[in-house]
Amino acid sequence: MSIAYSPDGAEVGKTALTNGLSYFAAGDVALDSSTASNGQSACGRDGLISVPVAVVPVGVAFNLGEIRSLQLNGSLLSGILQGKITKWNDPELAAANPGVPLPSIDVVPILEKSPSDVTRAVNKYLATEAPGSWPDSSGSEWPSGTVRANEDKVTDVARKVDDTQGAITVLDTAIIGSRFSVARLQFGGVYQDFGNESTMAAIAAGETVQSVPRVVEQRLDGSKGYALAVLENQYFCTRYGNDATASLVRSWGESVLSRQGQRDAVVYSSSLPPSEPTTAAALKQVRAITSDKR
Amino acid sequence: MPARTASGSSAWTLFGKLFLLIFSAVSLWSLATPLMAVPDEPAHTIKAAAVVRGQITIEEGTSFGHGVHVRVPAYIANLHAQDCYKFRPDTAANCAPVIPSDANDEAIGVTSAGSYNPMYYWIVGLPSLVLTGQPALFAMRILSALLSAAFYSAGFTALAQLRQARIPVLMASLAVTPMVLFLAAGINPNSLEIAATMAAFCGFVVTLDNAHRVRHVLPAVITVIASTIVLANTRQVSLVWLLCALIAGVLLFRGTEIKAAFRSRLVLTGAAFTVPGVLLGIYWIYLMLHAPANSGVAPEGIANPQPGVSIYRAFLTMVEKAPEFVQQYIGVMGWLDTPVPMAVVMFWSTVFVVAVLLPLLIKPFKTTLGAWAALAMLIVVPAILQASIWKSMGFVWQGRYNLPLVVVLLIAVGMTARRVHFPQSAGAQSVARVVLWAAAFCHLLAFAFVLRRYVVGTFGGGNWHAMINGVQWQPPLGWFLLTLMYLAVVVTAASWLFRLLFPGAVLVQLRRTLSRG
Repeated sequence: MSIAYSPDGAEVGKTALTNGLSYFAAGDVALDSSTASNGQSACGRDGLISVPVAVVPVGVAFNLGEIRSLQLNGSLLSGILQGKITKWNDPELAAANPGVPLPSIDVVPILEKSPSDVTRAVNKYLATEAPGSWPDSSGSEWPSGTVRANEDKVTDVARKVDDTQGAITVLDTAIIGSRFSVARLQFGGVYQDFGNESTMAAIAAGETVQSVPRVVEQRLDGSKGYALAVLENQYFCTRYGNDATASLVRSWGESVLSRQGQRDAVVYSSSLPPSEPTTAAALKQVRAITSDKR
Repeated sequence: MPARTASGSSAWTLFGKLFLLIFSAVSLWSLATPLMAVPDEPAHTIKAAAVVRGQITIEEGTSFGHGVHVRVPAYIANLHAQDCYKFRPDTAANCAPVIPSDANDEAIGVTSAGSYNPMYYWIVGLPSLVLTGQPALFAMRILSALLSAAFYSAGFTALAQLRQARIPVLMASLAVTPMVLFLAAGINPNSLEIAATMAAFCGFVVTLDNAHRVRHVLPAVITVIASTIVLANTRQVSLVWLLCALIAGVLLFRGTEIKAAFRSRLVLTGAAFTVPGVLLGIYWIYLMLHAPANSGVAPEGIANPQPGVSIYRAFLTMVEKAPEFVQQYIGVMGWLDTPVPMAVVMFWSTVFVVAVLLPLLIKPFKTTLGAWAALAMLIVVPAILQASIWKSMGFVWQGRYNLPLVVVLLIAVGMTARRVHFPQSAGAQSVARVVLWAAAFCHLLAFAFVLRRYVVGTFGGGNWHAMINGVQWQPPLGWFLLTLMYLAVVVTAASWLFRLLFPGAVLVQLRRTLSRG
């Protein structure tokens, strides 16, 4: 079996799946009820399945030379991304970082132009943590009022942060690695460290939600760990045209959600597994995939 | 009055004989080459299966990632899996998974040929409606081979109606390089494009050559009509090749002949016949220009845009690379991973050098204009086309795309030299024998070499013995029988050509003592 990856975005993937032109699709948003019931001609009467398969932490990376530790809350991050906080020694920043010798240099936010799942995660975080100053947006593009995003590719963003004293950006953990200093973020009044262990704690304490039939969601609990992350989902049909395809897709879904699959994901893409209850609920949905010929 | 050819037989009889000969050669290549080993064959096969199932245009939401997504039988949708030996000449073809005959459930196939005109695919895809598995795919190949063989035969038949046919026919025969036959053997409209351009050019020059008695060369006129309609509905760029062929053809004749031809009611009626077909082809181009675009970002390797390169620079790079394509005109088989042996390259390189220099020996200069124009177009037109897409798609040009113009060039040279006295002496016959045997040998060597590449893998060369004791993959009928049959075909072709060049003489001269005994 071979899998052809098409980096076209989740919307294209979902459309392809509901048109019967893809066997599964991936995206960073759990399907809503109307989308999940779509695609009945290609996917059978029950439409689509949506399950979480990975959690990818998102960090606020910065370049302040020797200064490695920084604390930000939603309001400060929103002020920085909207260009309202322009100096690192801004009094509000200093108040949040007692004892940190913040320099009097410009804050240089560097953002990716194209829509991305990281941007969507940050939008959601700020809409929750800075409700007064950040628009209630969960889109994958930066809302109006954000500083100008200049970089075409995320690799360009990373390079520019490396090259620019005072730079700050948001990146996923695979790119951050050990290359950048990353800020602690505040969730519901509690500062949490960026890191796998902290996010694992947020995942473990997070709820498994199934408010829409055949849609499983993983929530992250910010009071227990670092909860700014991209939630990767995969979408499947409930039914396929023949046994062979249904069996292959089922086997793919089971493989992705298996312990080995999740371990591979950690190694190769630095993503973390959903919680055990969430994985069990997801597996139940995947194992129910069937074919028209049954 | 039936049209007669230089060899004296009726045009239809000659067409029939040539068709059998060329179809035999091409189908032997079809059998000798593993399924999907012709460039982009999976994409074109998937497109053909989709077209005959009514998936003709690009619908909204079907084009993303690696191409246009269609629903075809699973054994066709999964043909991309036959690529284990692609770009690996040391790997025999037995590494490819079996193409099942029972995987007929509908599955998702992806084709990069989604925007191509459906005409070729409508015909070639038909066997997939009644057969399945390997038999269906071989039948699709054979149908494609039939189409190409028909146009090559029509082209040769037309040329044989020239008043001085020997040198043009000789050059046209030499234009049929191993690569031309290899391409004709696979499922790819590139094959039909080359054959139809050849036929259109040959029919056109014969019509002009008989401008004052067009009625006597009716098959040539019919050939031009059919080829024009086919070219307008093959690939978007095919109309450009047709235009080039017509320009080269016009420049080979005097104004009076051209005027006379275009005053002929038969020619004008023929031209009128082509109009609906050409308009249909243009309409398809219009449709595709307005079709839904690929709705995402094509993965790397599918498109490699070079936004920083200026068009001028791209054009000059292509012009500079023009000689590098010659090897691909001769034979770089498979997925550009199997260059034919150097001996074959040397033989046809000599043919190309002679072809390019020959017009310098012919006076007056204006009679050589067609050949020079064909050469200029071979260098400049692909450069313009590639330069125009360099920014968006990167460097994607391959030598095989130029083959329609290569064939036109060689025949145009033959036309330029058609009035040169063709000696009939014993010495001339000896020279011709050497050249034709060399050509036949090179064809056979290329065929056997490509078979070796798939039967045992090349492993850096020198492993012919493994064809006996280490066979890993066998084509239908086995490589040995195919090679013997191919030998028979190329010797027959050389003999026929020799007989045309030297009426009454034979290529294979048995000693009198032997014949007496």
